[in-house]
Amino acid sequence: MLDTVRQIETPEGVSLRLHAAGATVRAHAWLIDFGLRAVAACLLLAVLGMLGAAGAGIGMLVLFAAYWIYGVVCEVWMDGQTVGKRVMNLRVVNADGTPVTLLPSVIRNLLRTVDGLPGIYGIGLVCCLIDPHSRRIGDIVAGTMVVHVLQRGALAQVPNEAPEPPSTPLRLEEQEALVAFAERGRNLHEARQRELGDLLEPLTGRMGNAGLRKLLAHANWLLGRT
Amino acid sequence: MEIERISVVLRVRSARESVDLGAAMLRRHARPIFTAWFIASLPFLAMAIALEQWLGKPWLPLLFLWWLKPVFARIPLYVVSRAVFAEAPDWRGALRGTLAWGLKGLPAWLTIRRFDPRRCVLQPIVYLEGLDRGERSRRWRVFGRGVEGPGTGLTLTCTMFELVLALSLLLFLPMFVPAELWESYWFNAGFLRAMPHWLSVPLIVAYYLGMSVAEPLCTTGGFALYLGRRTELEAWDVDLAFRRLRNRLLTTATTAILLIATCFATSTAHAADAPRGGKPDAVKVSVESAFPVPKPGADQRMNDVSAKVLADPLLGGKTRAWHWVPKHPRAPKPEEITPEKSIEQGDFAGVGLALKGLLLALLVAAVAWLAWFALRRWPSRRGDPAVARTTVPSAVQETAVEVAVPKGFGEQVHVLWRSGSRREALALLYRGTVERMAVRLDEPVHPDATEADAIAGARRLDDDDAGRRAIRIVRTWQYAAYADRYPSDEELAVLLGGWPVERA
Repeated sequence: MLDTVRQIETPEGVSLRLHAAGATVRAHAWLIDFGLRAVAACLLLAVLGMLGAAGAGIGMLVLFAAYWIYGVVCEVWMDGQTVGKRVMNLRVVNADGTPVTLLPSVIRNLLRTVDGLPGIYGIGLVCCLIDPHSRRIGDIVAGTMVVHVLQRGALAQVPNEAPEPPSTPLRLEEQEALVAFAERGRNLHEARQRELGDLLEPLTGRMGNAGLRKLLAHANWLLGRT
Repeated sequence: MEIERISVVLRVRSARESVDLGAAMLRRHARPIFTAWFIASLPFLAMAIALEQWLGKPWLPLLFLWWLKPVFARIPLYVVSRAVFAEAPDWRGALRGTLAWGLKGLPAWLTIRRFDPRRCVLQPIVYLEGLDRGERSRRWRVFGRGVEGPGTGLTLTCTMFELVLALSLLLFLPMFVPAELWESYWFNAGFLRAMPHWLSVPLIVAYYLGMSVAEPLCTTGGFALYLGRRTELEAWDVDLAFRRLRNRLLTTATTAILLIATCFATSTAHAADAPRGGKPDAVKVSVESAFPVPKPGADQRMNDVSAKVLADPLLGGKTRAWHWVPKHPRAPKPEEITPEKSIEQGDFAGVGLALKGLLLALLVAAVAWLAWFALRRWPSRRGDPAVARTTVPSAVQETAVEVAVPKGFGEQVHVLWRSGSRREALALLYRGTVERMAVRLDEPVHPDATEADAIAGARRLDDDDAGRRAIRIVRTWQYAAYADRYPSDEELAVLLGGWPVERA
């Protein structure tokens, strides 16, 4: 099955799902970061430029920080997110899903020099497109990856119905499908809802709207409502 | 085909994740896609180069290649759309299938819609759903709501990738040329004035290669957006899960019945022999059922139903909205136009000067502090403890008081008290009392005797009144010595008037 999710089983038996972020989103995040730094640097240099040679010296230091330190500081102290990544809902994590720490962050940011070759991120882009988890060389060496931060929708959208357990025990993915249907069913056309509901006639024993109500009742039961 | 072989995890994805899925599909099916792509497009590259050699204008072949992108984009779309249902064709199949599409949609893509940035998401509707033009535009109104923005964004991003890849190839070129050779060429041959002729072929090839990566990426990303939107609109993921569950329930029921039947029918039959029809959860879903081709004009009922569905306000029908508007809108006040003052060189000179002064002052302060710090820490000065350490005023002041108590110490106590040395006066009074007491008891004064010893001595005196007075003097001294509480002048006078100061 093709998906962009990397599944990790922890020693405690918990499976973590990391949604790897691809080249396009990462390019957007990088562009935002780049634009921010460029604007900030321009404003600062305009002010410092009036101070003559001393200002130019300070400007050089600021540019150095913006290029080399910005990424590390943001990733380590801002929860793995630079400003651009925060806007695009991305996050840098270690390959095992733990928050990124100082050393991997420093390594992946130092290796920007390689990914940035020949000056416009050509190597980084190609590497990102080839790698199954969309990592650039810096990520591969540092053992990190960039993932989507998922926003969970509220479960409250499931309509209320007196809960009722299903007649046979359901597997996990079947339970998920039932709840997903209850959540998103209202966005579907009525005929489509009935069509889907009729598929589960062996489970509910009913057709049409009665079957739909029964499915809603099962979903309410699965959600633990009383 | 069986649902287990569907090659994509269907779930509701955000647009960004859908685009990532497109890139993953491209990676998975890179071999047939790129083989077919290069076989189909290399002849056009040759034509572009020939065009350049013939006309001598490098921009023309670039435009030619760019214009033909919709033609080549059909190859990745064909492969990926079949691969979703695990019918991934090889490159021959891809070329054949693309050719079988004929001219469908191409004239529009190559002319009036060539600049449409939504092409990547529109393509699947045109090529995969056999709708006529009117239905297509109605469907797009419903369908496009969620994917127009991401589709446009994807096209722009892929254009950027194309330029990045092409420029990267060109920029790698000077990296492998020896620097001195390059410099002499750069300056002598006038590289900056006109593009050298030999560069046009690498330019075209670099653009072609960049396009060959970015355009399939754009197409597969657009297809993934299309898939995501259909999953969202038609709940495909739920549909598949429900079908699987239905099949599981039906198979279990059938197996149970068969089991019972075989148990009763023949004793030789085994439960494992029960016909299970291959994989139990198999569901038949095909490309044809996912992308149905409606027969033109044949299904009037279907058309009626779809027209009714499309008229539903939820699905993009007409809506009517009311809102309040002021009856007599106030005429907007004409804005006064103030001529903008252009920024002069001298405008910020004052600020700059002030900042410069501030920085200089900070510098001077920093240097001065450094000098002071260095002087304090200089090794030759660190050896001198008198300088390094300031003396801490001790709480206990050593007082030079003669140990021997004078005969008539009462006057001396008086003198000390009046001169302000109250503590010394009381100390003298205490020591005198202890000495007198020792004389009276006929015991030597121990050098380590404490006030408690003095009080014990006073209790041993045969004269009760003298003992009480001695105890009172000791207590007064203790209050003064340890608690800084001094008696008043009258109290002191009482202490001094009588034994032990005045001999009884």
